[in-house]
Amino acid sequence: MKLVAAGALAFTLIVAPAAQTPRFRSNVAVVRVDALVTDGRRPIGGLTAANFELRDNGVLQKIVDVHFETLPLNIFCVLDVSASVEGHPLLQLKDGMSALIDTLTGGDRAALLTFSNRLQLHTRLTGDRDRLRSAAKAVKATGSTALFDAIFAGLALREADEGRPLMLLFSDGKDTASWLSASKVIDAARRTDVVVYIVAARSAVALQPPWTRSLSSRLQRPSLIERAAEHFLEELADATGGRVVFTDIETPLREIFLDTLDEFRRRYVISYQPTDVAAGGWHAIDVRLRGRSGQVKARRGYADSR
Amino acid sequence: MREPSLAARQIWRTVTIALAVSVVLPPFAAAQPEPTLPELADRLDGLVRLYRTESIERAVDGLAEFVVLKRSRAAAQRWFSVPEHPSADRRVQLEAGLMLYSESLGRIWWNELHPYGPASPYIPTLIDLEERLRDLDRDSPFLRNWYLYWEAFGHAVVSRPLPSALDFLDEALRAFPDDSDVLMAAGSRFELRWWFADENGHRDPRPSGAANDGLLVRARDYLRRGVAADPTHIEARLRFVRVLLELNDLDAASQAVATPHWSSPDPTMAYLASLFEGELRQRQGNYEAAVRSYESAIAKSAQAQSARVARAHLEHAMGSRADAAAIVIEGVSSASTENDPWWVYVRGQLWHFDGHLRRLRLMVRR
Repeated sequence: MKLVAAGALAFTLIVAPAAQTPRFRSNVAVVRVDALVTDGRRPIGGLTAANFELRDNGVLQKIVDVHFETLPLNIFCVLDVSASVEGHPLLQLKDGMSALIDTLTGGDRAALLTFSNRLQLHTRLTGDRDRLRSAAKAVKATGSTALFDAIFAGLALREADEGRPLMLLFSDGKDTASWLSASKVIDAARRTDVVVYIVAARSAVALQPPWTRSLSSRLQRPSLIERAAEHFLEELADATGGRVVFTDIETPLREIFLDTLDEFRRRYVISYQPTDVAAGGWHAIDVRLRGRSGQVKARRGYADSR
Repeated sequence: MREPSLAARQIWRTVTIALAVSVVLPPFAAAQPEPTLPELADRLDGLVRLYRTESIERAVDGLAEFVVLKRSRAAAQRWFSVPEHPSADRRVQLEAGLMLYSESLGRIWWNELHPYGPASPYIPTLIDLEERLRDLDRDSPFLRNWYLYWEAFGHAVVSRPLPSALDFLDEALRAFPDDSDVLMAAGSRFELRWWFADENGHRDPRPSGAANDGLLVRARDYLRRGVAADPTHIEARLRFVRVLLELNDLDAASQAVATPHWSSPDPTMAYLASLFEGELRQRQGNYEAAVRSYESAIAKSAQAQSARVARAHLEHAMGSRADAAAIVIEGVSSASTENDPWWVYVRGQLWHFDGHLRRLRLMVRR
């Protein structure tokens, strides 16, 4: 099976119009599931289709393909550049981006979307590293935090191609300026196949002495991640099969970004054609290992939007 | 040797100055005669006149030196009681005094991370001045504007709320119970508090009858009164509709927009009206009307992003991913610095702060 076709059809589940049958037939759609398999914290490699058991709405499916470390990545970097990131954290962020760009290989592409109250797409998906580097260098920090709107924008930018979509989200605060609500963003995330990895920095902005901070950042609400914000980020990661890494603002982001990317590369892409399940609506996905121990982390399901 | 850190140098500098002051200043200070109460009152009178007629900055600086004096409050109270000015001039002088104290305290609150200490010497006299002016004429145009100005300032510092002693909203509502601006400011306060409330971290509309929606209910009630007091007041109506959406009361929101007053020549208000109506129609399941409203908002503001995000989200939810992506790309590709009306709206009455301040200065500066 051509993976290009699989990528183009995955999660859009395009079928012939006016189909009378309420159930999927073979050869009409391919669903692709991005899964992380770990033994404790260490990713497990070398698995094949025979090692997985996948159920779609409770019905065991035949896995047609399993890919590991072979497909190019489409990385959507969605970075918080609100005023509380100004100074040292912004330098850390740029350093992390620079390291991430250096590790892009083959057909990997990245896009850069920053947000404060305003969202700004610095570059769409591109494999041009120089362009990405200069885009990352130009980023400045100011304003409040439209976290929900930015996540939605990142999800909406997902392109229908063979690349594995990863959103790398960095934020140090709770939302203060979005139009969209958290639930709308979670729903949108469930409708896509983008895996969201989140680096959430607990800002020490309120603890900094005033003379080290600019006037504009003093006007901001202290951007400590509060319980609701943490809950939202965990819910988002869980819905997409991703992960949240909580860190403090002093920890170098370079290592965290590289570890995150490394983990993402070592995920499996499992493809199957839904069989004997009703078309339309929400499809719960359950992926397990067969014949060996380990934990599988994958999205909880997908929406058949026909 | 390693250079000492900035913090270490700051501490060293502070200790050095403190030592120098403790050694040198006491004999010098002891040589100075302490100003009498009338002298201090005259000094305050001079500062207020400076504020009224010459330099606001110099008056603010001078007040900073004055308020830390031991008997500054007593001197201010003596100054209130000086009977020699003609009554009209006296009132303007008191109004200017309130403005001088307000601006000085406001600057500290605005600029300092922990304002309680440095701002505290200003607080008693500011309260005294407001009370004195209320005694003279509780519903004067100056006080009305000052209440609105002070409320707008409170919205600017919502993350570091002012102490309750500096909360004059109840006085404003008592003096101006049917004033649509005052009622809107009150509703806006509770709307803003809800916006920043910890339990509202997800920004989802409240399910019907949910607990912890007391802030929204208070906001709704004040805004309803504001709209009733002046049905043409577009911002009061906008906020009323927005709060009804937050409360998930779509029927009431529908009624509130079904009026010729749901429009405005002001592009900011017109944008927000279209945006909110789009949200209302979307939640009612009328997607075509929602798209029309969002498009109408987009047409009114070339650089605003909120309506584009709303429109893209609607397309995405309906399965039109390519359309959603195109709308997002169009909306986020510009490096514009233009403000989106939505971002300003969510800061409550802050957008009126400059206007109120300008009007008040005009009233007292001659």
